Amino acid sequence: MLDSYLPILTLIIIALCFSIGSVVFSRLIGEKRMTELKMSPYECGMPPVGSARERFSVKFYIIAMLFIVFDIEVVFMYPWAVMFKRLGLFGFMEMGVFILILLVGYAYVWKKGALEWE
Amino acid sequence: MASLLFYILGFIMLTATLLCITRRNPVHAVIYLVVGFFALALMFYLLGAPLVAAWEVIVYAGAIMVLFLFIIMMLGLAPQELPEGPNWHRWGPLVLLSSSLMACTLLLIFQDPAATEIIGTYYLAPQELGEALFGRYALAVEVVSFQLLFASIGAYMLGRSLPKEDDES
Amino acid sequence: MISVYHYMSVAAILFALGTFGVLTRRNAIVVFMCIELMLNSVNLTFIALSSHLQNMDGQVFVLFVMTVAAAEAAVGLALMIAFYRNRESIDVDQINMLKW
Repeated sequence: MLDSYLPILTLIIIALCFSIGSVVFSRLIGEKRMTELKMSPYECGMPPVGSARERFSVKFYIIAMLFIVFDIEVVFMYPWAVMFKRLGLFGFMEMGVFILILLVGYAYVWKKGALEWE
Repeated sequence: MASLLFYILGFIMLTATLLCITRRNPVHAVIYLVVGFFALALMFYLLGAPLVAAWEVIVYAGAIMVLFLFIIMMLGLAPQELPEGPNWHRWGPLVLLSSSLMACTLLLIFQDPAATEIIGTYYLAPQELGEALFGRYALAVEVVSFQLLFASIGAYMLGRSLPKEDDES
Repeated sequence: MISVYHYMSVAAILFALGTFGVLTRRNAIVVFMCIELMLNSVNLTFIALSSHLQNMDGQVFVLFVMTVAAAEAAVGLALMIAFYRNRESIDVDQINMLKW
């Protein structure tokens, strides 16, 4: 049983060693000369434009909120999916109604134009 | 073994929570709360509830906390001054807590993959939970979908940008 | 050996910490996070007792509590946005009007 996890363990150990090692060694061996250019945030090689922390539109919130709602929906699907055969037609209809009710909200928000980016 | 894991997890969870409610910066509070939720998920696993543990990570740490972080960023509530480089005084506790949490997870997986010794006498497989959820609690699941419908419409109505903000006052 | 009382004590401490956070913090989002924390301590109680009583109902209930928490987060944070739009602040001391 333990043998089947050995590749994952090896991968985790190699990944940890490499990431910690590269940070530690570059700190130990590397030469540090801080210039203003070096300490500025990296933005595709261009000089940064504005602050990274400016506020953004409320439209993002609607998307994030829809993500939560459908995240819950999918999470309810896990116990349903593992028992799909046993639950039969009743379970299928039940999940269908469940998804249909959620789709009503989705269609409403879509119809109201909350998902458009003018 | 199980009792050792319980004490470590309990310590991680309570420390992370305490740090969470005392931080000034709300972004740091969210990060500490996520660490606390991971510890709680492992505790659920120890109690023989693997599906609930997965839900805890997916729903709380993965979705709800991201929404919180999102709102903090959106309203610009994080402090504006930028820290110079990594600040160990600030991030040290977080690194310590999350690495010990990682060690607990690895211990839990590799020590006993079948989890026969660690978790107690009660173990609820996802299949049984699914059978109960979609059999005995079938109506409750449909009510949950109504609740989510109301949540999405209500959040949209409250959060939408009003078209004529100047006229109302 | 770890008994159900140990888990219940952790849940009780967690709930107390959440209450403390709700009462002492003034940032409404952190207050809201503390409410989520209190819901989670209740979840821990449900799971611990479900394991103690060998009964799955507690776990099913936790799933419903989590759904409530997600719906509450979506609506509550939308309320914060609406409030912030009016007051340019989310200090709980300023939330003192029922109608704008």
